Amino acid sequence: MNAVPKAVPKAGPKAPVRRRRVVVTGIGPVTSIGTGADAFRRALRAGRDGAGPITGIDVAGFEHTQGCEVRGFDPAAHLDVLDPAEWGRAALFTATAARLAVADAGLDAETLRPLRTVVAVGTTDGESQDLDALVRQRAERGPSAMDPALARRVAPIRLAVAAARELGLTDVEPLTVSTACAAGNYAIGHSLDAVGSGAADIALCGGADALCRKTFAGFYRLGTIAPERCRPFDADRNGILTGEGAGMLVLEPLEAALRRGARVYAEVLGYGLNCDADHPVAPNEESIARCMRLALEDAGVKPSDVDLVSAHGTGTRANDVTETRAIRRVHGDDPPRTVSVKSMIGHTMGAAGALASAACALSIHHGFVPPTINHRRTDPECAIDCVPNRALPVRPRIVQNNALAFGGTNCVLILGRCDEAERGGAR
Amino acid sequence: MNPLITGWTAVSPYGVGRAAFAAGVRADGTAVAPLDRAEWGGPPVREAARVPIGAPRDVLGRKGTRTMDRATAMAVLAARDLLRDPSPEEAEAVPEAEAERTALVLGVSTGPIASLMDFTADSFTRDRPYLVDAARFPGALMNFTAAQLAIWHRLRGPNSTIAASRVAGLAALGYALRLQRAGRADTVLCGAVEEFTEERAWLEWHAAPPGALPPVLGEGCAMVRLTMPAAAADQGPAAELAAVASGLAGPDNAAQVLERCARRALAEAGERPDDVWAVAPADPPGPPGDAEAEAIDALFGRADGRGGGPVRVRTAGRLGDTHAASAAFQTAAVLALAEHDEAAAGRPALITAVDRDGAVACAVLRPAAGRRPG
Repeated sequence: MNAVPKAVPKAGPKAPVRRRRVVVTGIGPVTSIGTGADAFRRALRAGRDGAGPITGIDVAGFEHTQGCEVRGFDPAAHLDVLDPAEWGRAALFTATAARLAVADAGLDAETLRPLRTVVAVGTTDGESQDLDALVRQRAERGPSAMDPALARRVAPIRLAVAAARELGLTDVEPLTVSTACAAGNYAIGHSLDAVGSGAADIALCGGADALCRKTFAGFYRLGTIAPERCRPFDADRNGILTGEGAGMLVLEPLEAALRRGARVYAEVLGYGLNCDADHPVAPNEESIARCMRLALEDAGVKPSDVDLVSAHGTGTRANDVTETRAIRRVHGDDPPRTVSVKSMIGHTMGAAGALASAACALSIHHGFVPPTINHRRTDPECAIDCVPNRALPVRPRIVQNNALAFGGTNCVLILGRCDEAERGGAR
Repeated sequence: MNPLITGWTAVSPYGVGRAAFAAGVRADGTAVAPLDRAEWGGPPVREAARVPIGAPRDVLGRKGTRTMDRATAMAVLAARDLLRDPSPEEAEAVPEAEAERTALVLGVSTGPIASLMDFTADSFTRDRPYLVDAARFPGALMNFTAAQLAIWHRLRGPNSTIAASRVAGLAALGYALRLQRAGRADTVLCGAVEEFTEERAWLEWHAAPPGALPPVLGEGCAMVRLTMPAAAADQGPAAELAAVASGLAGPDNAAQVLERCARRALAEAGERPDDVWAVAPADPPGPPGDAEAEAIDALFGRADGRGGGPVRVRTAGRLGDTHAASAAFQTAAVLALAEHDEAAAGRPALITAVDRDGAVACAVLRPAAGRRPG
């Protein structure tokens, strides 16, 4: 697979830079509603709610304490190489998700080792629970009492390093992208460029974050934590639920996937990324619309080709109105179905874009549209069909996955059904 | 097609701007100075290399600086130096289409660690755990500086923060190179930043291996402007960004992994080790530094002190340990020296870094031929 990339012309009217076609062949989710591709798929289809009382971080003194935790996470059950005692929760999520994704792709460490690999992980907060602990130690006992073992392991690059070490990769480019809540999509987009250009043979990419006090208190203070349920696009929505977990995808060239008879979930058709350059927190409708157009253009598809949008859909007043308007700007007055998986798994921060991408790929391959749960009455200001409460047995062809972050950092990914893989008799 | 480096700058312990940095590098003097012990609340260390800018409001004014950390102020100053828009008021001068095709790629270590720790501390020390300062929440996120740069300089293209510790400056270059080769930006401001704070000093003090002294810390931001050749017609390039390679070492093979990365990057650039004009290592403390030195010896032979082999560009001791910013400073130092060394023209320079968590990276630059000090 080290060969010079074949300049396969992309389908569609406009392809700015030629790249070889890249597909998703493995999915590794670690979420509050299920760990592993099969469990995650079943939960998405059933519309499971990952919310519950937060137990993994200290939330004494907060009035509302619901969140979407990965309960009973047991890294030792998944990891062969890393010692869980030496790594933070986000790194262990990442390594576990990478293991699951590789197994799901029908690959193993032996097969991967000779390949030039990119491991790209998006994160908002890095080893946030370790940072919380250091802050608490400093507050209670002074800075000289901070735990050296934690001080040594807070660098976010360790998320990518953890996945690569667990898989024993030797020719690997580790990358941690810290573009807040769009980071998962950033990591996947970068990996598309790396594999598509031929610079890498294969990529493991996605995102990870662990629930933490900093983020919980911050969103709480902003008045954007929902007391009970996350209800994106609902007239009575009242905020996000903080979530945690990781999603890692295996990206490889279509040609390589066909050659080894891999199951192809979806093709990564393209992506777009931009920055509002406007407000530190509030999203900008015009800029988000521009990001969607960049992504569609890169993918060589028209807005009308998209038959499902996976929204950033946080469930806050501001996001859902602004995002819906931006979707209508791009997709017109009859926009595609638009769902939010955050209604089920909460806002998993740096993992959000990656887990939503995983959901999109599962949707395309298995033929269902995941619902937006906890929905009662659509907000007239969010005029879209959010597929309330029940999954639809519909098979989308082209899916758009939005990720919007603090700092106006946007990244939109386009995934599509891969007809060649299906014609080729792959699973 | 590779991007050209059409400008560079540094906000460093030598001073603000390219001239101060170039003078400091050529004089090869140290910027490390004693800490004011009356004001110091950090661990028991005595020295640091600090950027002489004071607080953000001192250099950028009061507007928009209330929640800004010094890292962001340093990066705003660096970006300003590389852009045509000298102030937000004049930012409208940048055409919309150009703003949308201008990206920012910023390397960091753990991001705004002091802001993050102070923000979170309120949750543990105030009467109620949610009584944190909402206005400071964005400043506690790793992409805060990059987002602020976008706002200050109206950069509407891709805006990426790469958390890569000591290899951050090179990881950012690699990310930017891929972005531009994929046609996603015409111009990229690419740099890395690190701030000297009591919080970082404490973490480094705790993180130092048992028995080892914590490093003398430094801070600053260095940045290059990368322009695709078609868009660079009227800008005299300083160098070509020819290749970036990165890898991950195990506990005892960092030298071999770095050597492989360097050979791969040189080959991609169409160069041989024998033709390399200069090599700029990160010189990190401890085993990573030993491994880096071993790789460089393997590539170029042991430095014999008689002028054989490539010029060795050293920045680490002079600027303190600037961690995330260190490789960006190495890059800036190479560009500063190339302007005054005719032997550099058209010949490659290799920049290397090894991080304690295993990441290694290198970049190959080719200083422009026929360029004279201006």
